[in-house]
Amino acid sequence: MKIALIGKMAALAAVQVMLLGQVGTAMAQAYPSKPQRLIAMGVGFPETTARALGNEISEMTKQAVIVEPRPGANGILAAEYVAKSAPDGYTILIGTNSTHAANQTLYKTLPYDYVKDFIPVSGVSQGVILAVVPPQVAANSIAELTALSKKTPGKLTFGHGSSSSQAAVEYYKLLTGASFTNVPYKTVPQATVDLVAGRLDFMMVNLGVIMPMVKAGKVRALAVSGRQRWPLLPDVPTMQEAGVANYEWSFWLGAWLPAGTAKDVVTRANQLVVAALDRPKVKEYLLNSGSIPFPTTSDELMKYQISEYEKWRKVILAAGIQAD
Amino acid sequence: MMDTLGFLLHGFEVALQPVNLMWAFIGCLLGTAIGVLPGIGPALTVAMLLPVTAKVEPTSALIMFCGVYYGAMFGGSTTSILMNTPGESASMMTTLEGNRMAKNGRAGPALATAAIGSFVAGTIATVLLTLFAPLVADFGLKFGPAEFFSLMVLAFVTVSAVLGASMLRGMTSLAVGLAIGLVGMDNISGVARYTLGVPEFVDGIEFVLVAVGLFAVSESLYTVLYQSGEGDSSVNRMGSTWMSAEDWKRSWPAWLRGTAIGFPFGSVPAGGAEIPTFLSYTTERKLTRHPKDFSTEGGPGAIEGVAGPEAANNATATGAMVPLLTLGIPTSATAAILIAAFQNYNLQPGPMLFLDNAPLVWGLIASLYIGNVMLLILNLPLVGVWARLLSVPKPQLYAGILVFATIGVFSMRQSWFDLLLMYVIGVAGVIMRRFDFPVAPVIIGMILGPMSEKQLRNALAIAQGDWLVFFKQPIAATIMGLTFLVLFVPIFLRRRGVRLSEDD
Repeated sequence: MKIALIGKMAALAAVQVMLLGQVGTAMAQAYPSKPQRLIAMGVGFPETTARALGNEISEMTKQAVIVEPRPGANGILAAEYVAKSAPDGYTILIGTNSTHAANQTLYKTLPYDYVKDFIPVSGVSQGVILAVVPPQVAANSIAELTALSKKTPGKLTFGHGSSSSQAAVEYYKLLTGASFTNVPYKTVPQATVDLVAGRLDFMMVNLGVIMPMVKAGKVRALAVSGRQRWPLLPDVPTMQEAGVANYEWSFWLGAWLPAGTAKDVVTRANQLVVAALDRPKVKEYLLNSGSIPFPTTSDELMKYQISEYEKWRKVILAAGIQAD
Repeated sequence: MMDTLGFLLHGFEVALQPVNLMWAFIGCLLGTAIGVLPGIGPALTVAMLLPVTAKVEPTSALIMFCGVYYGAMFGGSTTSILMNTPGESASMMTTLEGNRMAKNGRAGPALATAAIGSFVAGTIATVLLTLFAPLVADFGLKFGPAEFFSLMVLAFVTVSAVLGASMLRGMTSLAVGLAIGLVGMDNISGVARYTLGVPEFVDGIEFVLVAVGLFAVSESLYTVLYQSGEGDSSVNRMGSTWMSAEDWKRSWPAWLRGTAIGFPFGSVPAGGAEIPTFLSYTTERKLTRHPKDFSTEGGPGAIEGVAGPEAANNATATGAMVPLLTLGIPTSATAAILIAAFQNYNLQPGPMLFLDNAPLVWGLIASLYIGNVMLLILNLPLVGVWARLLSVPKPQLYAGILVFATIGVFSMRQSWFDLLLMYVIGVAGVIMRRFDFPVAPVIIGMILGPMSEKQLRNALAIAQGDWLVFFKQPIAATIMGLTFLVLFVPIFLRRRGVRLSEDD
């Protein structure tokens, strides 16, 4: 049995290697001179994004890139793992606003420090969040929705399945005084199903998840959360255009190395990530999933994560959100 | 209707091309191999194979991925039956009767009824998918938290079927399971419950880990500790590898019932395969003419208890294609990865997919038919081979099971903590066995508890705290009515002097 099993595992590995066809020869050159590992903070979007990046980086460096999802505890497990890994440039965290902005306020204690334990490599992506209502909700704009919710305080419900999809709504409530009853779900798709079925009245949800429903007319898009309109939805205004001054929200991904990594290694890693983000396949992948590439320098990501931390902190404390 | 047939025929044309047949075969083979290993699920495998999509035709790649998905669902039954190790939650119920049958020399018929039942259920479910996908999708959407919670109540009412001889011990085990299910982050208030400050506990305790610990590890340890004197070199009894006429007669109604329970469940977004396999098992337990055969009664293992849940499991897997294709909402890890695979080709699963990309969708559906046949061809000849595995002397066999369980659980998160936990749970399982506590209710409690809590709280949140919601919505009310019938009709009949099979 064990032999049969090992045989099968070997076969699996062989097929994968065969299909990848990308196992380069070891290069005597500098970094990266052996396979790199991308540690994704979760399955789903962080993992598939890490794979999209990994494929391109691997093509550029002729080194294998292994994607390893370490889901759990809102990314804490993955972040802690990378923070404690050898700072040699071969273990890279693909983290998010959870690992490097929200968890710091959501959790009383964290086993890592988002500033001191990491060196930022580059931003990876910024995801657009779409404000949507099912057809039976009588609101054709954010202003109408705000008015409707104030007329019947607490009668309208909103669903969410992640801290970023909750915080996006809480921020909107904070800025406009709109009133909704909160219905929490374990995952975004579960909440989305209840929205499409008409059991929920409102959601702010990752564009990639909800786009097919918008196209099919099952839900109505009222606004996008970012600073710009989304190219595939030119008629949908931004939250700011829809009258919510100062509103800007996104879920974002970034890449980090453990603190103590040599400066030239960080620079090279930054070049690789930034170059990968400029490749057509990655761009297309991100567009399909409702995100835009977010290449930055190491310093820029550091500044960004600190400002995001402050923004999240304000919303989390005001709305009384706790970890989910 | 004619359109559908025309599309389907064209779909077969695509799926029957030799190169696509090859991909379907590779998919089924990989899937089966993966299903056998606890811990590595179809999601991980499809994710690892995703880069393939860059080099292979969309239709071929998707056909292969569906093979993986199917094969994995199927492969899980093999280890459940042979090694008492459910590879995924949907194979849990198979373990109860299947492994008992294997221990009594009937591994062959158990594996065969699982293979053929999966084929029958998969094929019927695919026909239903072909004919009714859009209708079924609308039905699935009607299942909200209120409906789900009603189903949970029904499941709890029928739970006595697995409690075993002593009600008190069974309920204790169930309570332990419910308690384990509470560990982790409460997703409503965000409060971490019973985590003892250990970050690994924040997401709760993984089902597979507990199942492997309680079933495989505890059984191996128990055998070593308490039964080693009886024969270090003893071998499991071997019987016929094939299903007898009696086996067929008892299996086929169970396959059909399992399919009828599983398919609608699959069509419910995020329904999961646990509840249908559980309901199928309890249905068989209640309807059987051979209650004494069931392992919970100390019997030699009842074949309908394998046939039903296995059929339900596969029908659910096929039914789950409905929300995946028509809604495009990734309600499970595997679905998320499959949707990513679609997106790699600029295809967006969702309400428009059937209109925009009909050839691909129908090619995919046709390949589901072919995948079913492929799995049967692949697995029937293996039944004899697998069954012979049990002729390995016990010490080696149990050592092998321990190694196997360790690899599987470690591969989930590469965490030493998980391994430690698995062995701690294994030791707890030994103690439970020693004092005659059944282990299955622990797993049932662990699955049903958190699900029903979540659905109850969501249902109430949506209904603004109105408890009557479960009786106001037609589907939920119907299920609640059914629950009352299941609960009170036997009592009523008994009062009238009617003897029921469970009284035997």
